[in-house]
Amino acid sequence: MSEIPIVAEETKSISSDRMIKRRKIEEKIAIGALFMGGAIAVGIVIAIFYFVIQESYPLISDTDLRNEMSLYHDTENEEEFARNASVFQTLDNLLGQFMWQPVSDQPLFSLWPLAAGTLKITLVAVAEGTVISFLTAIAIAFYLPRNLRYTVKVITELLAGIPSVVLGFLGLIYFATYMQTITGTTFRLNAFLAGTMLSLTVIPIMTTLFEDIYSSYSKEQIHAAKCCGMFDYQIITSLIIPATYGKVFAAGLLGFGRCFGETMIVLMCSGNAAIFSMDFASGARTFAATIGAEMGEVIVGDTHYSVLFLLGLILIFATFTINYFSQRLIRRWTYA
Amino acid sequence: MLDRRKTLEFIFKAVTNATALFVVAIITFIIGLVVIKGSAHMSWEFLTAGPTGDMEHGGIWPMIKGTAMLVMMMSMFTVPLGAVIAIYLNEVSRRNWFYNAVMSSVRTLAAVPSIVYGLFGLAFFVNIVGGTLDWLIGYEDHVFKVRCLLWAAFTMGALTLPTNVISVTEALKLVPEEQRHAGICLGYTRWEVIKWVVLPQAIGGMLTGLVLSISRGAGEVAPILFVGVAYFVPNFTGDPLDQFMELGYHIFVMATQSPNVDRAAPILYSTTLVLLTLTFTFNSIGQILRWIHRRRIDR
Amino acid sequence: MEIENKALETFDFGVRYPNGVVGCEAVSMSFAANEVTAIIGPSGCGKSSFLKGLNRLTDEFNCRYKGSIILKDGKDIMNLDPYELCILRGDRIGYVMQKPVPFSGKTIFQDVAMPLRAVGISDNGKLRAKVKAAMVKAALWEEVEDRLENLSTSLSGGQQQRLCIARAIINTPDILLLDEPCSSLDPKSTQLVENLILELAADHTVVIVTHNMQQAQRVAHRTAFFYEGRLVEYDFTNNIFSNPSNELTSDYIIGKFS
Repeated sequence: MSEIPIVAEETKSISSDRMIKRRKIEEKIAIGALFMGGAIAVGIVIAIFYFVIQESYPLISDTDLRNEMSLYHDTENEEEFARNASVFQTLDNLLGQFMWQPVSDQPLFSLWPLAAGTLKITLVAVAEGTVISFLTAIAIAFYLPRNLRYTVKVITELLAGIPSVVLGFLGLIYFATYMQTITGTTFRLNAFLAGTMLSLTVIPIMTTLFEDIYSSYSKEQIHAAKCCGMFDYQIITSLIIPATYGKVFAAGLLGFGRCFGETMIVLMCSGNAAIFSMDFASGARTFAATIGAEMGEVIVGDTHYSVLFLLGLILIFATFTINYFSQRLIRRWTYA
Repeated sequence: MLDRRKTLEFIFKAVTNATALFVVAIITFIIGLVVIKGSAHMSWEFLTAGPTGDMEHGGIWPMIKGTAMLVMMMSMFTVPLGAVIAIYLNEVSRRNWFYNAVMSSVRTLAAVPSIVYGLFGLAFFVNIVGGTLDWLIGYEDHVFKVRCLLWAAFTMGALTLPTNVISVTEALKLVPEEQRHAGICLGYTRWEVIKWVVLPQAIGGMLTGLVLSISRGAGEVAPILFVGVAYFVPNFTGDPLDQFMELGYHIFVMATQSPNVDRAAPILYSTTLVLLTLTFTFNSIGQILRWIHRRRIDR
Repeated sequence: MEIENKALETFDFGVRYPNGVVGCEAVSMSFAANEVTAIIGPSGCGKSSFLKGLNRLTDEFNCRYKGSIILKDGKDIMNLDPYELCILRGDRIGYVMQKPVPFSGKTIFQDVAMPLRAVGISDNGKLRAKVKAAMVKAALWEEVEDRLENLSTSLSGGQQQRLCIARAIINTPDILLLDEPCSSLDPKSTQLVENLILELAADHTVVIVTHNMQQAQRVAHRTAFFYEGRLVEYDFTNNIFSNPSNELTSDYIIGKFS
């Protein structure tokens, strides 16, 4: 064995103390900043909830507003009027009657017409969107020839790049006339048109999600099914679709949530008539569109202002709940 | 029996393929419609001149400027913050309650409807932040507590924050764990591993997020409806504390409030064409970037 | 090798994958009816590709073919259109894969009954009868007859593989193809399945690919040895293992390579 002197080098003093300190400080600041970033994210969410609640809370806390909301404006008796201005008056105005007339001597803020409008438009959008996305996803995942498959996927994604203003505009100026000639409705701008244009925003999302689910289905099972002699459509309808119900439903919910909050298309295509009816051929008003249409003209702190914030609160809770359940479902079905 | 199955197979295949082609047809039609009708009125003057106040003549330069400024200011805010949050989530956090809180927050933010961001922008940025700033500088006048470009940019920033977080997270996830370990073996601190090993590879994600959020920011109108955008701002100087004009909003107002929509149609289509080109370009660049990234790692 | 009662015969059959890799090449052999034929060989020798070619499962991998495979009635499998192929697979050739593949979200009953659905049998009584018959033959009935409504994924590995066997034989195919059916099973299940194979030969022509030589000796009447995509030797099992005529075969059997 040759004699190689083994020298223990002074490796510990490669960097001077100041370098180490500087690295330490830099580390602390950087990690702190990263935590702060996370905190800001949480902060924004909390802030959104907090402020929306704060601006709509006066509806039940502030007596002046409650007075405004009261349906008994024509009572001659001042005292009786004040006594009657309770929380129930607010609720009465919101839920106990069926007219939305914010600008009048007797302001009426019924939520029902808005709910009906939202329901109508969302139903149309989700129904059309789901069916079309479902069929398209199956075509992409199973039936289209190889080269077309990618093209169709890309083009569907293109639809996601079209802002909702543009879709609303085209619906208003072009498709509305078309629809009217085909369906012969009295109103050019109606819930059905708005729902149809809205489905265009939902289709790219749902198609991508559905197609992911179907393409990732176990290839071995598909081969085994072919070995059983099943035709393609049999494999798809009796094996793949039933096995993926849960995931598909969750994806559908996601699309549903997206429809809820859509404003521009509704503002431009629905006729903005806040009426309480389930007639799809007439105008409608959604929660989101109402906020969009009327917020520009309200006085801060006004009753109308607070009611609009209340609508926003309803929207947040609705979309939050839908998304929460959809996440839960996705998680549950991923392990099935 | 075979015949029946053959027929069913044919019908099923035909229906699904037809739907797919129908979707493609509609999209092509929409794009074609905008391109054809929009390019009719298009000209250099149109793009560089200002509007004339009535709804039928003039150009759209201030709107382009407004949209560009909105998007730029918004990006300065979201891209770094999104990256910070993504890095926190993916690199630094121990998966404790705080991690769950941040994760759920990002998911919630992604789900909040755009109009609610508008409410938030008004209630928080304009009233609270603006009000506080006004109070701090002691003016009686409303300097900060106004509906203006600055707060609109912040509002849009909040809206596009989840997009950035997700893009950067995607990029971070593509960095192999071994590289981080190698950094640690070199004696790097946690932050140094991020700074020198992970971040350079996250730049791609930041770019993707930037581009995608620009596309979204230019297209969304709902959040800024009452946070600062206006239809006609005669001397739009680009002052952030001023109201501003924007492409999407312009389309909206012209389409719904023109006395004669048919006469306004050419301008509308051309404005739409400009907006669509903008969002499309950025959206496509973003998607391509994403695709490139994935391919690079698959190698 | 001369076989009087042929169930299936291949003529110069070759399979090539789209990336150029050759699965198997120029294989000409015939399978004796109602016997178990084993195909052995080192990994990558083409035995799986060959088997998959026999029911054209290789179509799913976009393979190209050479040669022909003739059935008992003279039809060439290579000439069938996709629909006739489905009929072929549903009715006349059964296939069991290497890993047990239960269908997601189906009960045991539904899983075994899937091939019946393909053929169009919907009468509940008939379904029950056929499912029971197949599961009895696959030695699975007694173990699960009381829990047919449980999910097929709740069975153990060995049970799942027997379920796949039941599924493969439920339409009483002439030919049964088994691709290393025991390689993912524990020894006890392996023994069960091997006993099964011998019984199944009474009603079907069984072709089994295996990497386990002892298994071939236990269950097969005839054995074929594949090497690098070609058929090297094909003889009665006894002869192959005690007195192989080809040097490659004897090298493999001794264990010079695996």
